[in-house]
Amino acid sequence: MSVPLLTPRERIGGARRLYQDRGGARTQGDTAYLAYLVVLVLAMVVIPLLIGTARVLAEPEILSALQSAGSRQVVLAVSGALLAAATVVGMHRGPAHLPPVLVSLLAGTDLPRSRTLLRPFVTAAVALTILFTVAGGLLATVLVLESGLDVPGALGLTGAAAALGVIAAAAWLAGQRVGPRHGWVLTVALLAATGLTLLVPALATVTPWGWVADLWPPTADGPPWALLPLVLVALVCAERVPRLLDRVLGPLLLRQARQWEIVSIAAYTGDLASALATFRALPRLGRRWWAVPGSTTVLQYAVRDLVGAARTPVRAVTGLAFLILGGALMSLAVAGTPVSPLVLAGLGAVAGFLALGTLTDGFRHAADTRSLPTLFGHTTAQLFLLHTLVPVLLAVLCSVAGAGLARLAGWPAAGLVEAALLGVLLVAVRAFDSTKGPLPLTLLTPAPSPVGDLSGLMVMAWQADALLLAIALGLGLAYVLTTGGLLLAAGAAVLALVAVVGLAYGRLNDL
Amino acid sequence: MSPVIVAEDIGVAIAPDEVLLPPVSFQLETGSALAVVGPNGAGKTTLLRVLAGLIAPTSGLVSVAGASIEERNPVFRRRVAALIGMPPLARDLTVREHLVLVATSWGTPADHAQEQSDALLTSFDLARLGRRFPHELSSGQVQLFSIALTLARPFNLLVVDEPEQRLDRHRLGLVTAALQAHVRAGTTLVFATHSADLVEQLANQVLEVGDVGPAPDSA
Repeated sequence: MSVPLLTPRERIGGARRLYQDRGGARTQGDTAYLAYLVVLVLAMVVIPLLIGTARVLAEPEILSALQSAGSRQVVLAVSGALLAAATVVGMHRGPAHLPPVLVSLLAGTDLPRSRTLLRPFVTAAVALTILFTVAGGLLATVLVLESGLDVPGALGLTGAAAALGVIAAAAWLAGQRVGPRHGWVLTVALLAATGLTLLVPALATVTPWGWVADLWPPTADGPPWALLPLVLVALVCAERVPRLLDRVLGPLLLRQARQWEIVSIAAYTGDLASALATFRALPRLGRRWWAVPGSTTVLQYAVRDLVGAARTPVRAVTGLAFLILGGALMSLAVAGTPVSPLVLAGLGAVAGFLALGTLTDGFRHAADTRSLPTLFGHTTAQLFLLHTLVPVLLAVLCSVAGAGLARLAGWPAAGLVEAALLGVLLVAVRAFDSTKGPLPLTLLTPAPSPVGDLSGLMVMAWQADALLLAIALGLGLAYVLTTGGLLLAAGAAVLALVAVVGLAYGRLNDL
Repeated sequence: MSPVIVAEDIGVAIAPDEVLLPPVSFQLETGSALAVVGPNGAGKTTLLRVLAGLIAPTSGLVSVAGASIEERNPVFRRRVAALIGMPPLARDLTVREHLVLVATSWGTPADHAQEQSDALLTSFDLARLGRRFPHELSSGQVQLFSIALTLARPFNLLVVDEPEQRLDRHRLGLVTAALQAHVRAGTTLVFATHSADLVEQLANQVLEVGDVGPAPDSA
């Protein structure tokens, strides 16, 4: 007797139900808690952030910058950069994302991936498009309320943001399709094309980022005709999605699924460092370069760190670029730009902190030695010191280069020394970050407050303590510089450095 | 000859009724090899961690070369090498570079460190893998590399946890030969194992820990 086969729709539904009914599945209580957390974060973080952003955008200096002649170029560059960023994200966490079990049960079968992966893709793409639309709508609302922008212009901007969101979702999927090994070509191509459009304005008439810039209300000229090709490209991208989904590679899907499962477990256990380690690029180049020359120990470790970084060149170059960006932002914080010094310093600190993550593998390796049998003839603290030279040199050089670029761009007051000071401080913060131990259990105990249990937020704050410290140092340095001058700031930086090193040393001994 | 290790009723407990290592006593002479045997969870690795200075015993006394075990003491660190779990590997260094870096960190001149590294790679049949990064090795190759890395540094007392893990017969033979050579040269060896062959070929003393079942055939 032959058994009638299930239709693809029934198979997909059956696999999803099987996953939802599993032993460790989310209970109703878990879902309720998650909803509570979402509402808490929306109410306490997202909405105040949106209102705060709108207020900052409405500041006369910012509004004037938004309406300046140069704003079109910035919109163009940001639009192109967002598409490039979407490809980078896709290489590590694509929109067609499923838990590992469902990757095997659905994407691993004979069913076409354009069917099995469609739902997660659509969910992610809709979320991204909403994010873009909200951002565009926020800008449009501020321009309508504060500068008398007409409604069609505002609708054009919001529509452009939404269309860019759809295109970015396709770029996100393209990044996932190509994968981390070759995906950087896609990213570099998008960045290069955007840069070329900035240099050759005629190209703006044939590129999505150029059309978005054409729709930027303060500099837009005439009716929003550019919306038409932009929407057309968005529709073409949407039409190509099933083919892209069919071509997503199974091993890449499974690897991303496993990596993010580790991350979700880490969110509960507090072991974010291990989770992040799974995303770091592994070296494949330069195995013939000799990284441990027979010289003085300091020089040997400097060469070892440089060669080690050069073995993942895309990662290293990205890190250096962000260090330069961080230096430029920090230097502009004291240059009297229309943007708030604290905003620039905060962003500069974030960029610099993230960048230094690519140059401080040595710190993480040194921290690993702390709880293991002695292997090296140097103590863990000595290893930390030996791994300091290269990050400090590169942080200072790149930060000063960033500040120099800011000066070349027309901000003669941009601070070179200020940028270098923050670079050095951020290396210390990276060392501090490497010494993080397991999540303290006390943070998991309920923390009642008038707005509910804040233990979840405390865990998040603990996870991001080094980033928060970096931002605090950036803001503090900018404040002291703008109110007390360079000498006082240098003194404060030395004190801060001693404090951060002390904190790192204390945590190291607790490992 | 005075014993290198003297252990008197050393035990480890994390609570009054949670014993990781029941009390054990033994003495070990220079150039001896002690096999620590027992079922899973008996406390073998815990005993090795005590000898490596990673944890302190909660009862009893133990000394190495007449001094108490103190991981912060540079003399102790130079004297005792241990492989318990995975050593700290750098993702951006090749296998050969790891060996040279470890050797030079203990003061071995660079040219000698390179010669020693090549000899170690050859003795463990890893010479063709010298330019690989750690993530490009199989699990058995990682085990061999970890042992080679531990042997790249100087020591008088070597503590190894289950050196036979993930190794085929041929490669276990290579490890056995390398450890035998060290013991013959005067190194004191303590190793935990589930391999009766390894006990027979290496050990001249056997210590059973925990609630043991039948011990493997041994010398």
